[in-house]
Amino acid sequence: MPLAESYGHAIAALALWGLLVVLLGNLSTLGREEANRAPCGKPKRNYADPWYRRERAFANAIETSPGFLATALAAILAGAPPFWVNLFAALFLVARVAMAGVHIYTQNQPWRSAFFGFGWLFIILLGLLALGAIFF
Amino acid sequence: MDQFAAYSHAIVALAAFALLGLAINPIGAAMKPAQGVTAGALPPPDYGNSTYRWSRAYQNAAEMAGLFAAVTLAAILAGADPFWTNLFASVFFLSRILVLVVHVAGIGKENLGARTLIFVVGWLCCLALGVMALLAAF
Repeated sequence: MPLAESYGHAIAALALWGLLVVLLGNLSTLGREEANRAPCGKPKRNYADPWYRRERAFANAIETSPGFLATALAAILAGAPPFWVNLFAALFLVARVAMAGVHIYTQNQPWRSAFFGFGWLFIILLGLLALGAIFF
Repeated sequence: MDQFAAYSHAIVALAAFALLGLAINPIGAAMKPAQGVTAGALPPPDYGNSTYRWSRAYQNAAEMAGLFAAVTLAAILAGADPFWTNLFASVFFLSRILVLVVHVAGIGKENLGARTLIFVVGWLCCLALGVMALLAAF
C-alpha cells in the first residue's frame, strides 16, 4: 500500500505508541495498596510512591494519545512530506519512551518535563505539517 | 476511500467503540448527583456501588480508546491483513461490550474475575493489532 511505503515509520510509531500505552496500563496496577489510595480510588499524590508514578505515567499517556493520533493521522492523510512526518512521529515516540522511563523509575521532575516538552513539540509540528499540506 | 473498503469491519469497530463510550458517559454522570458526587469527580471506590461501577466502566473505556485507535488505524494504514485486522478489531469491540455488562452488573470479583478475564481478551486483540501493523509497515 503506498501509504505504508511513504509513511512506514510514522505508522509504526502509531502502532508502537499503542503498545507502549498497553504496557503502561499493565504497569499502572502494580504496587497498589489500600493504604495509598485516595477516596476516588486513585493513588494518593506522592511522587515517592512508585505506584503513584506508574499510574501517572499511564494517565499522562492517555491524556496525550488524542493529540498525537489526531495530528499524526491528519499529517498522513493530508499527504504532508513523508520525511518530516516520519521523523517527528518517530521522535515523539522516542521522547515518550524516555519520559515513561524517567517517570516510573526516577523522581527527576526537570527531565520528565523536558521529555514531555519534546513530545509536545513534535505533536505541534505534526499538526503544522498537516495544516501546511492542506492549505499551502 | 476504496482502498480502505477491505477494513470495513475494523472501521465499524472503531466507530462503534466511540459510540459505546459516548453512551456510557452520560449514564454514569447522571447517577453521580444522587450520591453527592460533584460533576467531574469520581465516586468512592466501592465495587458494591453501581454509580462507582458505571464511573469505572467509562474510565476504563476512555483509557482503552486511544491505544485501540492507534493500533487499529496503524494496522489499516500499514495494509495489514484485512481478515485478521477486522477479526481482532471486532473481537475487541465485542469484548468491550461484555466488559461493560459484567462491570455495571457487578458480576464476579472486582479483580481477577470475569471482568479481568474479558478485559485481557481485548488487551490481547490490541497487542495483536499493534504487532500486525509493525510487521506490515516493515
